[in-house]
This record gives sequence, structure tokens and C-alpha cells, in this order.
Amino acid sequence: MNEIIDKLILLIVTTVFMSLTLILYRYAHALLYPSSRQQIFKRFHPSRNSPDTIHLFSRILGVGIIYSQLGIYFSDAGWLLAFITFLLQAVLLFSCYLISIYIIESIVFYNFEYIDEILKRKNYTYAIISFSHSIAVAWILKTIIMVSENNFIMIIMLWLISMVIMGLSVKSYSLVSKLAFNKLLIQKNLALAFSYSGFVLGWTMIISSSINNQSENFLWFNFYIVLKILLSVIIFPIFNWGLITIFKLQDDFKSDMISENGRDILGPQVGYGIFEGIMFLTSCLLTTVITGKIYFGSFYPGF
Amino acid sequence: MVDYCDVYFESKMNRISTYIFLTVVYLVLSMSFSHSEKRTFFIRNEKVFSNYFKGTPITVILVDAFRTGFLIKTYYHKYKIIHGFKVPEDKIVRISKEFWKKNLKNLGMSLFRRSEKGHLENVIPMPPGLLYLGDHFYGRWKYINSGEKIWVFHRGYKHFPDVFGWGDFVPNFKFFKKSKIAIENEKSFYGLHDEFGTNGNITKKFLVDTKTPFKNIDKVKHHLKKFMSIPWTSSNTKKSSSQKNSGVLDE
Repeated sequence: MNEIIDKLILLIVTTVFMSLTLILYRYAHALLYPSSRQQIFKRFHPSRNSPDTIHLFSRILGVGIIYSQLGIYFSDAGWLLAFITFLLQAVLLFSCYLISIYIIESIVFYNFEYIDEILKRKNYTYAIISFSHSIAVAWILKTIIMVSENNFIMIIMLWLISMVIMGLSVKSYSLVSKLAFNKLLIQKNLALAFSYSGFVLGWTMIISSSINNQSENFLWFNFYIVLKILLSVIIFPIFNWGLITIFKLQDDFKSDMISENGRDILGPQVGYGIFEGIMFLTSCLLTTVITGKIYFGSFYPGF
Repeated sequence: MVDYCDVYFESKMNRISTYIFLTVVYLVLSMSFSHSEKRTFFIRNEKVFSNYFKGTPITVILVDAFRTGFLIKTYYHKYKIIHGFKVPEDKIVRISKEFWKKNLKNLGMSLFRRSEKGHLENVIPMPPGLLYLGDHFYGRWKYINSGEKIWVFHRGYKHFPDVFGWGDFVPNFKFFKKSKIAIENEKSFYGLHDEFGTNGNITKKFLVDTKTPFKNIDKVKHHLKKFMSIPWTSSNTKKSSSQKNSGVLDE
């Protein structure tokens, strides 16, 4: 009985400790995003500005995703050392997480500012795209933690590699989508938000699957990542084409829809954005099955 | 209209060429770093044996021939290499399709031999152990009651018949003579009654020990059993509970 109560107390203390580490996150966030200081430190009213709510909670959700992969090991060296290790890991991961979002958003939103789009214009498209960035980065970091088995050097190296791949992948959006990013973001077009979110989350799945491989040699490890990405680029169009053919999906893209009164240009329909986004995501998920879930074993024996 | 078609066609062609380029890059990268391509030696035909297998005396026996892959097959030979004074070793090599086809009938046969005296080499498929027959360093001809001459290995090489997979087979002088004639005529020789080679009785007996027959139906049964079995029974429970329940809630 004593042990059970003690265990419960320790779990509650750990929960409180884990919550306290989030304070660190607030300061780290404010350091990297001085423009959103108001969002982080002042009272937040979720109903007042919904895009801002999406923006803030996407970051918090990202932290949750990262934390879900961390482990606290009391048996190794006692509770104090376990807490210190956790704290160090949390600080490292917060830094990686925030720097990653900063880099990705600098690449994608180079023409746009948080203050203009969220606080002034209440742009949902911007918020949803930012939401997908947070989830994507958090998911990749989660995979990195899993693969690196809490090794500091490995986390840093894998994070750097994945950031390079992620940076290149977000730049390739204009190659695979018919939607004009900057133009539609100014128009607050939701089709862009859905299409881009599907694209980014799809790439996240591919990058996570590529990182998730086993090799004792670091050079080989990197090589396999590149090879898997390359293979994914080859496999992805086949699934995309297959889905379009099997479900007889018609590409009815219209770049500029006119409103009923004939005065406003609406841009592409939301349905088209959903179609593109889901197609990207589904094709990428199916691609990860091919690149990461096929085990040849002794089908091709190595001697 | 024509311009639009041209632009559409051009963009389509660009995409196809990029796709082909990426596929080629992937294949080249995979090939250059592939473990199996690097590790496994490739033998195009019997002419390569001389460079690949060093030392004398040496006999290379084909003990297994198999192919792997889905549509584009990779062909393999497993050889048992018998040195006169060393422990026999097994080696698996990649081979060409032509060489694989050529040796379909030669399982259990010696594909390459190099003698100690004069380093004479021979690549005509022959029954294993022929290299040592007639060499008085390893054995002698002995008359038996029927008046037939049979080959007997010296005490130090008594294990050779087992190594060659002869079983109960004892070579006689007629066998030796015929094999020499076959070598001179550059023709394969499978024994006086075709005892050697893929369809030979002696080879079949010898290779049955090295191969475990596992029928396809057994594989299907095994997979189905694994797929349909209840995980929380007997031994599975003990294993999985120790591995999985290492979280905070286990007692």
C-alpha cells in the first residue's frame, strides 16, 4: 500500500514538474517571437480572435506531441537526476521546436507577418498553415526522439538533417499544386490552407518514415534517409495517379471563381483545396508503407 | 490552341523526364552502396574459377543452386571448397543466368579442380573427389574378391568419402578410366550409372542432409496459425508481459 501511495505522489509531482517546464517554453517562445509577446504573456481570450487561438494552440499542441515521446526513468539514477535529465531534454527540444518553426515560417511566410495576418486581418488561412507547421515540426521531433533514444548528439544531427529536408520540401509546394500560394494567402482563401496542410503533413509522414531506420554507422544512416526520400519522390506520383484513376477524380480546377453578385473574385473553391490536401496526405501515407513497412528479410539474401 | 497544346505537352514531358532522372539517380545510388552487390563475388562463367579459388589441391563442389527476386532474378551458387589439408569451407557466389542454366544438371558435381602436381586445372563437371583418385599420395588401388580394382584412401584421408558425399559409393578402376576419357573428350561424366549430378542417387542422398524441405502449404499453414492465434495464451503471456508492461502502472 505504501508503495502504491508513494508511486501516486511521485506521478503527481512529475505532472506538476512537467507543467512547470512549460513556463520555460513561454519564455523561449517570447525570445524567438518578440512580436507575439502579447499572445504569450497577457490574458488570452480564445473567442476574441479565432485565428490567433488556432495559432497559439497549435504551438501548445506541438509541445504536447513532443512530450508524448519523452520518458522519465527513475530506476537509472533516482528522481532528482531523472528530473534534471528531463529538464535538459525539454529545453533542448523547445529550442529545436521553436527554431524549426521559425525557419520554416521564414521560408514560407517571407512576405507575411504574424501581426498583420493574425492580429490585424484575422487570416484563417495563415493560422491553419501555421497550425500545420507546428504539428509537422512536432511530429518530426517526436520521431527524432524515438530514433535517437535520448542521445543529445543524435537529436541535434537528425534535427539538422530533417530541417534541411523539410525546408526543401515546403519549397516544392508550387511544383505540385495549382494554387498560387502568395496570392491566395492574401485573399484568405481556405482552399490554400487545406491543400497546403495536407501537403506539409504528408511530407512530415515521409520525413518521419525516412528518419525511422536503423543503422549503426551515421554515414549510412544519413545515406538511407536520402535514399528513402528519393524513393518516396518516385513512389508518390504512382499512388497519386492511382487514386485519381481508381476514384475517377476530375480535376475541375478554376483559378478565379466569381461571386454570385459578380463583384468579387473568390479564388478556387474550398473543395478543390480539400481534394488536393487529402490527395497529398493519402498518397504520402501510402508511400510510407512502401518505403518503411516492406520487409524483404531473406527474400534478397546478403552473403 | 496550338500554343496551349505545346505548353501542356512540354510540361508533361518535363515531368516525365524529371521522373526518369530521379529513378536513375535512385538506382545508381542504391547500386553503388548496396551491400550485396559489394560483398558477394560475381562469377560470370567457369573461366573465372581459376582466379577466384586459390591454392592446391582444391576441389569446388556445387552443393546448391538457387535464385532470388521477384521478376529480375539474381542467381546464386553455393560451393563446398575442399582443400587437401584444410577444413572444407562453404562459399556463396552470384552467378550469371547462363552459368546457372548450364549447371542445372550438375548439382553435387565438382565444377573446378586444381591438382597439386603441375597445378593442372580443369573446369569440366565431374564427380567430386576425382582429383584424388589415382594419386598414390592419398590412397591406393586394391583388388577385391570379385577381381575388381577399387580405390581406398590412406588412413589420414579416410574422411574424404564423407566430405565428397559419396556415402556407400566406392570408385572402381572402370569409373576412374571412364572419367579420364571424359576429361580428355571435354565432356561431363556423371558416373557409370549416372549416380552423380542433380538426378543422381548419390547426390540426392548427400544433399538431402543439407536441405530442409519446407513445402509451400506448410508456409501458408504457419502464417495462418500465427495470424489467427490468440495472443494472451500460455507462453505468449509471459513474454509479452515482461516486455510491454514496464510502464508506471505495473506492479
